[in-house]
Amino acid sequence: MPPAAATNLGYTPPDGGWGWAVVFGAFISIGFSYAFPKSLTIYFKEIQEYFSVSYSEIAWVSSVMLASMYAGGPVSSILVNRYGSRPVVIVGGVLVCTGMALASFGTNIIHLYLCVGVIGGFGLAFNLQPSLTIIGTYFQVKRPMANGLAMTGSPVILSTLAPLNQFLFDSFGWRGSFLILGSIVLNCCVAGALMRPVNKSIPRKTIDESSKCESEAQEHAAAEDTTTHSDNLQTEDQSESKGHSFVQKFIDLSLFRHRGFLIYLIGNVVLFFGFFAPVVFMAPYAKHQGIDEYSAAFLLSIFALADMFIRPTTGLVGNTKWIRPRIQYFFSFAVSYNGVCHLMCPLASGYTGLVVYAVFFGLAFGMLSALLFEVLMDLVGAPRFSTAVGLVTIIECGPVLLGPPMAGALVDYFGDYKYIYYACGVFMLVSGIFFFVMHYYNYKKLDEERGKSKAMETRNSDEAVQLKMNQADRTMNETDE
Amino acid sequence: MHRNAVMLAVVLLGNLMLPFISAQNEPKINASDQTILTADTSSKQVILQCNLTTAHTRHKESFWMKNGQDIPNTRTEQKDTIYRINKPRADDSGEYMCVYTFDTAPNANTTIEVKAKPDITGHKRSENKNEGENATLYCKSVGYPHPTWTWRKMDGKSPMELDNSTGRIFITNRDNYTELNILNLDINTDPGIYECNATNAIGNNAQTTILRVRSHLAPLWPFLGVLAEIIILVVIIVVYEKRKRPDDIIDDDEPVGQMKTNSTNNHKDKNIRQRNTK
Repeated sequence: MPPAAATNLGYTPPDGGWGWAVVFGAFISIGFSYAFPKSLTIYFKEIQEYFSVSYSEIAWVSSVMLASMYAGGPVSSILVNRYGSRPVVIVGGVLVCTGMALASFGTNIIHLYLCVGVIGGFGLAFNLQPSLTIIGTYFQVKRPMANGLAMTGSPVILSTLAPLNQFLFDSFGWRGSFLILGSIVLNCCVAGALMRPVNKSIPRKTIDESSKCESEAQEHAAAEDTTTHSDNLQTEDQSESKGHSFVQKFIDLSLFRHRGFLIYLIGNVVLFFGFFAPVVFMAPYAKHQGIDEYSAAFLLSIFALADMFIRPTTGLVGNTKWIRPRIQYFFSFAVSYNGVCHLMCPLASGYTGLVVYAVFFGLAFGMLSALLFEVLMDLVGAPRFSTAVGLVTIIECGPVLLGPPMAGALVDYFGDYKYIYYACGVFMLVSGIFFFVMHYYNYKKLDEERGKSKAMETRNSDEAVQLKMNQADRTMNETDE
Repeated sequence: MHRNAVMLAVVLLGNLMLPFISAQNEPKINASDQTILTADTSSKQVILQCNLTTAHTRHKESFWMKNGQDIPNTRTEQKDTIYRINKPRADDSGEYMCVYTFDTAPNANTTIEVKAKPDITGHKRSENKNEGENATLYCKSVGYPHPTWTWRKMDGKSPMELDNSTGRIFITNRDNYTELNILNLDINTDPGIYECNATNAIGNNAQTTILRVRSHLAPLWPFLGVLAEIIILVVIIVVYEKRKRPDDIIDDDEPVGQMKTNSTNNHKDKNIRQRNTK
């Protein structure tokens, strides 16, 4: 009897084939979601002068966009559960395009808040969640690799958009650029067109099918995913039909009773306070040290390059048979490494020190980003991932928005940048240690539950076989006589 | 009468002597001549010197001023005072004054002029504006004496006088700053290279700025182009998928794997006894 491995999905994910085209689509979608708000900052100075507003008022555009993107998570989750990934991504792309095109005709700053911030942000939210969700439906064994590759979209598209935006700005001014950016963002619709819903009618493959031992071990590890045996396997089967219809209509709040999900949520809230602030303050910190503007900008390029390189590598490493079963520890390591990196930053002196810091920080940031959603998928499983990520993003909204301003307040109060790095380092280190401890406890609990359920299964199957044997014997005896 | 004549003579003589006496009471300062800074002298040090030759009372102290402002750290009590300019540049030029202060008399001073060709320090290399907007080109200079400004537009390699027949061009000149304002930019006539020229008694200097005017419709073409590319890509993907669909169904017919079914084949022949002996 095959192990209760892929029963949680109900089908075997292809783990390849069209899946790689879907990964490419997700690459583009995720890339635009993360890179687009950051790349718009190039236009802010000109828009600020045009509308005669203060710097903080123009920075609000970026914040509103980010807030809408995170707040739109649950809405996006509901739509994905109902309609699948493809229509939602296409609608998202169209939304951002309309938002940008309308913004290019804007007459005051409120207009920009609404068009770029709210409409654009929602559109990006409709891009982010479905892309992550569909990877979970297409991949099981090679999922960390697929996730790592898809998340590489963010630095790659940011590196492409930054000089492109500068060029568009010089050639067309901010209004023309917004119009053209709106059309470029429509590429998300192309990405959405690639996201064909996975063919669920392929019959299940058994373990005997796998040729290589390694892939078998991987499948085994993937099968013994924390998802399958985590909390209430039996009750899950029973309430599955009830749960699915509930999920389809509303947000599945039963996730809040899921142990792994809670660990992830609490750790992430602490983590995100210190996640983005160091990136935002890298260039100002460099300038504060007396480094000229171009070298400071070059630091960011080094950071992006290290980030770009490490994401697929992390995916590859996470896929190996040693790491995959215990991928949560890998994630905890990544978080702690981030924290250590920030705590060591004030020790860096001069330009070479900052370059070294930028490289290490790039590696740390990329590692964390590549694993961020993979571990959530690992914890809650593909069917509930969409809802989970929606809930996570809306709760993360707070720390993400509060982080950089709080760091800015620290700089203003102390007059020295090193306190930001200490603060961020502490946040991430605390979060990393929390993850290590809680996941050790969680893995132990899961192993216990798996042991129990396996014992019950073998007992059940033994009983069933015994019963059948007795029946066969009885019928034989009857026919004999 | 004799006495009155003598007194008148003394008074007259005294009056005649008065200018000489007061001239002798006025402090005299010997100062260096005016200097002209050129490219040749830029490496040599320029020395400005003031000597207090005659003074009625002892002076208190002396210091230097440039263009009406005190130069810090130049106060001494010496009679001879020297001000050095190392590696003189255009912004070192100006009106220098050595000032002597007295306890019981007003200050005495002499002016030394240091002149140079104007150096243009601030200007925009390029200005991009939309049709119908207003453009502002400016130039800042350093140097004494203050230059007179002229604006010209380059026609090929040679500068031409500005054509203000449409009355949209306004020029504002101040001592070391000039501004060229063009209202309601016209995409046909206004784009080009503009030159600001600063001229004074010593020489002149010029800098150019490129003015580009963007049309309102300019962004529309790339927008439509990208839109077309996206529609083509989406159509290709959808068509590919529609064609692939039948292939997918054919794939399903292939036996992917033997399902372990509860096959009752073995039970068909009931003559064969099946016993699991354990």
